Amino acid sequence: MNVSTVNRLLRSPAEVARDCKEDRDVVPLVVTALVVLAVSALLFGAAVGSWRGGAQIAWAALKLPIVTLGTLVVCVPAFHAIAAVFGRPWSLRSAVAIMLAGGARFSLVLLAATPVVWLAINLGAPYDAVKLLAALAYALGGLASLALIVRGLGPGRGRVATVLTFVGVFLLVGGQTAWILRPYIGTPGDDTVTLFTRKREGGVAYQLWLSAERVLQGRPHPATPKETAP
Amino acid sequence: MSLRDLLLLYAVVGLACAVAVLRRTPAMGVRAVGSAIATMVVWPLWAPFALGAAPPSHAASGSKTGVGARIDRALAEAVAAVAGTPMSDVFSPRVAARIGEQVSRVAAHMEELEALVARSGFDPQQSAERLRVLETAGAPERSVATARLQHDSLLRLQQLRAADAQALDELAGLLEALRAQLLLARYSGSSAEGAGAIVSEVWARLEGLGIAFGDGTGANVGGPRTGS
Repeated sequence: MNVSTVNRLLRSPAEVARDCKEDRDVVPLVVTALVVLAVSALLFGAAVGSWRGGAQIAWAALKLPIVTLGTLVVCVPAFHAIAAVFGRPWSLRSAVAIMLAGGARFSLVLLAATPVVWLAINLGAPYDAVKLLAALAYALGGLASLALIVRGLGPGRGRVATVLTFVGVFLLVGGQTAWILRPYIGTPGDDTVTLFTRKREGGVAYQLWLSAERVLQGRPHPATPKETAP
Repeated sequence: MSLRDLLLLYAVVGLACAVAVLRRTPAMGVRAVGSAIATMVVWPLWAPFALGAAPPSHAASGSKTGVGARIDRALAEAVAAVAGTPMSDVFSPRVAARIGEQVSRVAAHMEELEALVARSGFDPQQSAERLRVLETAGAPERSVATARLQHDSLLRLQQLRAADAQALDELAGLLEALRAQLLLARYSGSSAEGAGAIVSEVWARLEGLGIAFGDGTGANVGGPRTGS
């Protein structure tokens, strides 16, 4: 892992994207990106899992890197194909490098948000607020990542179509992967810590919608015990 | 196909890629094992880099074609010629690697110079034409002097490039002679005294090239002097 590479990822996304596209010295970048992806997701997962505490911290820390890397594993070939279809027939190495650089930028935003999430939990934030805060961190990370990918795509026809198609695929795959491996925060009113849950809960978007509704109306999660409700 | 089957297939492909990574690695070490493990776990992300070859970079391309390729080949064959013989002291793989490294740097500098000269505004013919036009038109002395300075500088750049290209070509010839000398010593059983002298000459030439570029390369090439 190289600190100067991390610095470049944050400060010079256009330069990084160009290097990826031209396949110029990308191996150190890819190594750094993989390490950043795994470590940041691990720490963010641990912070999110600290809402429940105990073993949930370890499970969430273990599962979030799997979700992040798993999503990239599935999405990278799709990105390669989508870019080629819309007039950017890059080499696989270039496509993978751009995706990993984007992923690393995303992870660095998650890493920056980790203390905020942890602080919110430490100050007694309710389940729904933590869930929305985590979703907000993911959204900000996604935007940071997208900024690099868009620069990598460069000007020309098919850029918007590539971005929209890819974002659609990424949200679908990422959402589904995260949903399969839930829970990360824990379940309100249920003190048992589980690695996976198989309850029917309606999907990621539906759950985020419910949480937003409850936060805006100031209602606690229905399963939250009264003594712990905010 | 269930999720379990898919994961099993993923693991099998990952394992095969990891084995390929280990087989391709010339020397087994922590890096090789780390690369193999990374390949096994995230092969769609890492295998293109662990198994695929990087395209030649802009700077290195000059060293891998023409003279650069001759030098690389001569170095590799010279190392192979002395491998496992007492002459490996005269020309070790480490010495060859250092020579190769210096040659690559010089070739990269030359490529930069060529790219610079190829840009518009760096053509000595154009600058000569401009100078002639100014002189014919009776332009002020200051304008003519500036145009002359520009023309002289471009001519010097062109000469410098030609001289360095020739020096690199001579270096390639010297390394080919070194390879022949080492092969002769190996198969005739004679001493590698001549080869030692050539190695010293190679370092001297590299030093000269480094000084010509004025980048401190010369200071770095004072490497192992062997055989003299």
